[in-house]
Amino acid sequence: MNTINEQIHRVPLVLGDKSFKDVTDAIARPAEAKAPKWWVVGVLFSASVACILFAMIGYLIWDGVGVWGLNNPVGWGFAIVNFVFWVGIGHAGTLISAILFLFKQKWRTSINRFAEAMTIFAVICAGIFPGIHVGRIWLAYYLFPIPNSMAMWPNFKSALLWDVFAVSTYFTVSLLFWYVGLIPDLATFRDRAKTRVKRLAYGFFALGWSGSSRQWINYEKAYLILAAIATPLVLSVHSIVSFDFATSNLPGWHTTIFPPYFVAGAIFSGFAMVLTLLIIARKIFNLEDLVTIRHLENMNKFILATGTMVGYAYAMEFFMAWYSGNQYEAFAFVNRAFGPYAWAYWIMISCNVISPQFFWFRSLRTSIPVMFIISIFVNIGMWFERFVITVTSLHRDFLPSSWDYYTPTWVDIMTFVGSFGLFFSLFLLFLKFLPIISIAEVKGVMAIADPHHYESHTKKGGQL
Amino acid sequence: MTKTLQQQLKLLVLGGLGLLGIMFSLYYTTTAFYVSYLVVFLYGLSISIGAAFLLLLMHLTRAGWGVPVKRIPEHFMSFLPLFSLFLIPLLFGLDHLFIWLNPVEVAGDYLLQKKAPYLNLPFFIIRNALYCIVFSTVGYYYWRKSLEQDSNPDAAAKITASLQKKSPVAILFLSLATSFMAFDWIMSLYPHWFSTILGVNFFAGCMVAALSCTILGYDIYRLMTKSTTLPSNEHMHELSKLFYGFIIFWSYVSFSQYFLTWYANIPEFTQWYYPRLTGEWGTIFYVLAIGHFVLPLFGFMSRHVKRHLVGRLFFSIVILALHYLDIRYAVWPNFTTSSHISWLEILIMISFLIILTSLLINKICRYAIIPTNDPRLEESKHVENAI
Repeated sequence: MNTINEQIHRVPLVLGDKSFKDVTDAIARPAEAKAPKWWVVGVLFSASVACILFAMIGYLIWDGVGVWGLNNPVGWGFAIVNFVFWVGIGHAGTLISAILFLFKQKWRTSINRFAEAMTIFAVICAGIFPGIHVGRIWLAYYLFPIPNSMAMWPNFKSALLWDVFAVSTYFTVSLLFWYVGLIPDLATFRDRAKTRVKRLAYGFFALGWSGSSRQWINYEKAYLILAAIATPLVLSVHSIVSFDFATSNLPGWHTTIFPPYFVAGAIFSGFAMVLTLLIIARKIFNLEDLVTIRHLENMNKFILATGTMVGYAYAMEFFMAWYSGNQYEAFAFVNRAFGPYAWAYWIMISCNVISPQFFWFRSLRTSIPVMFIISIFVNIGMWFERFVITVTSLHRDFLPSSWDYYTPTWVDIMTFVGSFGLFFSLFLLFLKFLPIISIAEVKGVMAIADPHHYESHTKKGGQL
Repeated sequence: MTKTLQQQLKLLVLGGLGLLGIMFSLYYTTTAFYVSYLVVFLYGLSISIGAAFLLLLMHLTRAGWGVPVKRIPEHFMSFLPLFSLFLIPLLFGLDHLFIWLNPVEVAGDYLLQKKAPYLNLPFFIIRNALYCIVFSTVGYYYWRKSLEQDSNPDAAAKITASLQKKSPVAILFLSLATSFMAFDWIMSLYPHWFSTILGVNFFAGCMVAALSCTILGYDIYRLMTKSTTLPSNEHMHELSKLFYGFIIFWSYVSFSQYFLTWYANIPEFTQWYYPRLTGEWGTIFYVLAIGHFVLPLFGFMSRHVKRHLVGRLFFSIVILALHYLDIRYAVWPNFTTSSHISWLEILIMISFLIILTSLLINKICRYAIIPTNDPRLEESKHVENAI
């Protein structure tokens, strides 16, 4: 039987003749076994990279924003680029867990936990950048409308202030959503725990879950409501991030397609990052039967679809820049493609628009090496997209005498590299201590979860 | 279907065409005719385009829930070749609609001269021919193939597989044709203005219109046949959820366009909104914002309303009406400050309504309403919304 290609007949989401216990064992193993050597090395390495981030932040605060490569026309460089990059990555998780949940896409169960964890860590990384780029760090609390109480009013008309609300709300809801999903699995870990410390720790967070049907009813209602709240939130966060640019009147920033285009781009980059990490994790933890090639193929289809949407937005921007007849609009785009930052622009186009087009072919869509390479390309391309939008629109402003070229300093680059260290440290901790696939949800979509499963076995000769 | 009904419907179609012909012969020299015709044309077309997107999306995602509710949108989609014919009367009045066709205007307008490589008659005709080819091919092909499943059960699975396979390419072409269609027929009415989101905005309107027509169609069908099994209330609920989602999507996209224009306050952009925010059209702005967003946002959110016949009928009719207002709001302020609807427009609308409804009823009676051989029909019978 064809277990991969779902043409007409539905194929099973979990491969291999697995029992419920096999699934629990497979997912619980990493948390119960002794920490493998690669994990220890990995954590130490990424923690040291994360230390670079904190060192760079310390240096920045000590010495001032001058340690960055900002200059007069380019007053906004790596800080905003990295912020948007990480927030974008943080979109896939909630999309998979909330939107695909509302659309009853059952294949999401194998990847949602993983993607949500990634979302939360990515948003943590994102949140650092607006916090540290304020210059006078001791006034960072001005980000929140705290000065109101001192009769000093922050600019409520600024998209940057909305960002603070949007991102912090998104972080809170994503965390809650993730945690609610974790509760039944934490209880499983608690019940399987061999040591007292583990039992108490998992038990504390499992909130006394016993798996009674009354608990399940409440749980599923809560999950549905959270999904319904999270869905508009996912779309609004990146729309508001796009407002940071689009509410200005700078050519290249002010364009009406920005909100949906940023959302599509965020999903695109988020899926690419999930894919990169998932390909490695399923191999290391032997989860190929739970995260099958079909799951990966579906993700590739998402990457193709959102990548094409992003391509559509680029094309519309370019077309309208010409169609507008406005010389400043036209210049901004010609300058992007052929100006001093043409290299960045063409990296962006080839990574974001061209590379996902390989996924039109089934053989490439289902090939692990190909999708791994393309997912890396997309990650790179989406970082460059934010770089292109930010820097190319600024570096040649309305006054040609002040044109300049922005080059990041080593501090800029090491801060960005350091943020990956933080991301991977958190991620490796997650891999070791929490169920990386939702045990309860995966069991629900297995063929044996159907009460009539064994009947159909005898009647139809084992066909699903 | 009874012979008499078929004849009556035929007569109605001829009557509608006759009425349209009379309107045309009486008013073909007036701008009012062409603008009114354009509004009605875009309204009808948007329903068919939306239906085509809905069907293609169902194929693309291999949706199992929607089989019992796919025939009516398929019939709407099959009108797409017909709209290529309905486009012809507009060609007689292009100079009434587009100032960029007026050499005197172009001579005195730097921007129009710059845009001339795109906004010129031959290229405009070529583009529209391309849209017609894309719309008609997709609409007719998918409709035909679906009907073929009814008569040929052995090939049904193969046909579904092939339609699924073609759907991404079809969607790609349809998206491009829809966007540029919107640029040509809405944006270039006021050629100084430009907005990158307009294509998405028009698409959102198409989806809203198609979903309200689908819900309305099936609810009337369920009422008349007293059938509650297929499509069941569960299918109607699923449709309503999608409808609700696209109403919000429409609001989101429309808000993005308005808000970014308002905030940046650049004359090149605000000049399009200025006549739409003052005077009578200013009132319509609030009618749309409240009726097309706030009212359904709260009114249609509840599961009970979505599962209730009256709730669905109310919101699908309100949104259909407001979608018409939405298209008027995009087109008419380019020509007049008055938001009043003329008898001419009402009569054109009535003739379109008569023609398309008769054809639709004819198709519904002629072909099976439930695609019995669709390989996903069995799966769709088990759709339910537990919580």
